Amino acid sequence: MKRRQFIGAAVVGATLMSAPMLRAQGRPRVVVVGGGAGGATVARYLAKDSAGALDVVLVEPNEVYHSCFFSNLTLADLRTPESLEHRYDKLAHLGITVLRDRAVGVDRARREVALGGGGVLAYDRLVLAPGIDFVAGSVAGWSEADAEIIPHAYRGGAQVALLRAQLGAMRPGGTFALVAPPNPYRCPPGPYERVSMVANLMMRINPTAKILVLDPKSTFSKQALFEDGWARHYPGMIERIGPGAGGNAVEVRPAVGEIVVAGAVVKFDVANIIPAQKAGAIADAAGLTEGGWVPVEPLALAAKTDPLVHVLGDAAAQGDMPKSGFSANSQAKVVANAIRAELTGSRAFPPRYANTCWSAIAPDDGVKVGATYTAGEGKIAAGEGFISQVGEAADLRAATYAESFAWYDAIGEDIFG
Amino acid sequence: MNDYPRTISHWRAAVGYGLSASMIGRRLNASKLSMLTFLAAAALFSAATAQSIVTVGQPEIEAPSCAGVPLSASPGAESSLVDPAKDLRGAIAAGQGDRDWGEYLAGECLTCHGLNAEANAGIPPLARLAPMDFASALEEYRRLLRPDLGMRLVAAQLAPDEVAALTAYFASLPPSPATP
Ligand SMILES: Cc1cc2nc3c(=O)[nH]c(=O)nc-3n(C[C@H](O)[C@H](O)[C@H](O)COP(=O)(O)OP(=O)(O)OC[C@H]3O[C@@H](n4cnc5c(N)ncnc54)[C@H](O)[C@@H]3O)c2cc1C
Repeated sequence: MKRRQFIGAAVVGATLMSAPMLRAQGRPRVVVVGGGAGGATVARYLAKDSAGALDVVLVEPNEVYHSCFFSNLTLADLRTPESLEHRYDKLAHLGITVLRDRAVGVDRARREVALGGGGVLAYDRLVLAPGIDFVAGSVAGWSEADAEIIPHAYRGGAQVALLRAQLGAMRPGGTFALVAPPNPYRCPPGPYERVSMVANLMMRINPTAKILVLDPKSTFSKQALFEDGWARHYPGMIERIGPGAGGNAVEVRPAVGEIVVAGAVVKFDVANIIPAQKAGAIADAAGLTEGGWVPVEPLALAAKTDPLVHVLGDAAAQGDMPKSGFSANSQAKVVANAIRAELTGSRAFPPRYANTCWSAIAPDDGVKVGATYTAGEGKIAAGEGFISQVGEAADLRAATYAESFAWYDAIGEDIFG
Repeated sequence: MNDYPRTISHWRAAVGYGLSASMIGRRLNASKLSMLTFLAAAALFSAATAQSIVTVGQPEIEAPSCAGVPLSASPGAESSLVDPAKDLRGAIAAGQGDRDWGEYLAGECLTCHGLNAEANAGIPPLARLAPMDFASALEEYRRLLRPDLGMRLVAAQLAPDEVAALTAYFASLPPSPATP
């Protein structure tokens, strides 16, 4: 309750603003748009490390962040939806001004961000971490307006809950169809972890159900590990149709529960459409996108066309790092160090980037893939890496699964305090 | 500040990392792990080479598969550098690590390791590790004596002065509040 009031006060401050909120004298302002894995980490590290030397403003429309990471586990009841909720009270207590508002425009010449609530924020540095939006028309017959019937469940919270409810209510022996996205997209193993978790649920509540995966990609992340796991845990339940057999050009008929694949009509009971993706709309509004994403330089993720705007997380076209919460968090610490050094004269350290993506195939059967990255020629370049192996001992898989839970707690603390 | 080898290839050459290639392809034998761990910790600060550890323990270590890139350096990298383990011991004992750099580097650790998190079955929190234990653990990962693929990668990419910086940072943290 106390926390609420604190955030509430900040929000009231924002809505009362009539004139542009000017930069406080002598204290450079960093405006961070988007309080997700990337943006909240930047804001937290800037505030924590600069000890009041910077005016950090975080703009985020939602009071609660529902992480996509681990959302697949809620489909198999391995996590509760509530356990994936994060609030901004600890960030506010660090001295960050948390504005519950949406950035609707960026005037880069004047260095101002326009807010949906009518306010205008001047900035010395701008950080955009808006995550993803969907490419309209990328799946024929389906639009975001249909998501209330056929969820994408590729943002956390309500969409994932809707999918879980539909799966729970599916008729015995029904068909669940998942349309996977083309590259690049958020969380490369995400759709396949989702298939695993839906299968796990079905084994328990609807063992004659079928799962149909329609995939525009010929190969996918951790493919050997997933396919091995599916054969061991969910034999005969999952069928994947790749691009050669029509998985790349499906047409969805939401009203009648049909998908047309290579001219054949397939009936589904529950479907999950994960469309093609692009940077969150504010990146486009700021005039920074190229092919849907924002090209950034590799040393501190400054937009290639504007060194005062850093873009990180899913929205950035940075090179080789996968679009993951881990990557966004890793990039955020590099960005925070660079911005702080530029604005306060603190020490600048060389960038270090890393990613690890854990995936649950079944309870106690976890796998992971990871790598480190360096600032290469014009892009963030992959260095060395590792991946779990098919045929690993069960206790290693169980340890990897347990590790992912520990990671979730640690990164949650690192992002939100 | 110091003149430790600054690059990963220097570091690897100096710790005899090329030799560890001979350990690859065999599976870690858990029953031998604790003895090896002890030996490795002892060896870390007495300039023993990876070679002697291999001979004593015959560890069977699983090949770290790294999306096609082995985690070990190619054999025959340059050698004849100062023994970084000795220098590292000195730096850690004297608290010479660069604390601020360590704080920055620690950002990478904190994505997975809680700082003061409650005892956590999956990944241990870091702040309560004594500096020497911390450095020894990293050295064991570097020598592939501990199994985790992720930590082997992390350890392989930390130069000695970076380890010293991290220990200086973790040592500077206030003790975590007692848990009720
Ligand atoms: C099913 C699934 C499973 C996943 N599993 C994992 C996993 O196991 N590990 C992992 O590392 N990653 C995982 N991910 C990926 C991870 O969720 C994303 O990569 C990560 O959230 C990206 O961080 P971000 O900061 O770029 O975007 P987000 O975390 O999406 O944050 C963006 C924020 O910006 C806000 N925003 C958007 N536009 C505006 C605006 N105009 N003004 C103000 N605020 C705005 C949004 O409200 C949101 O809070 C998974 C994703 C999915 C879908």
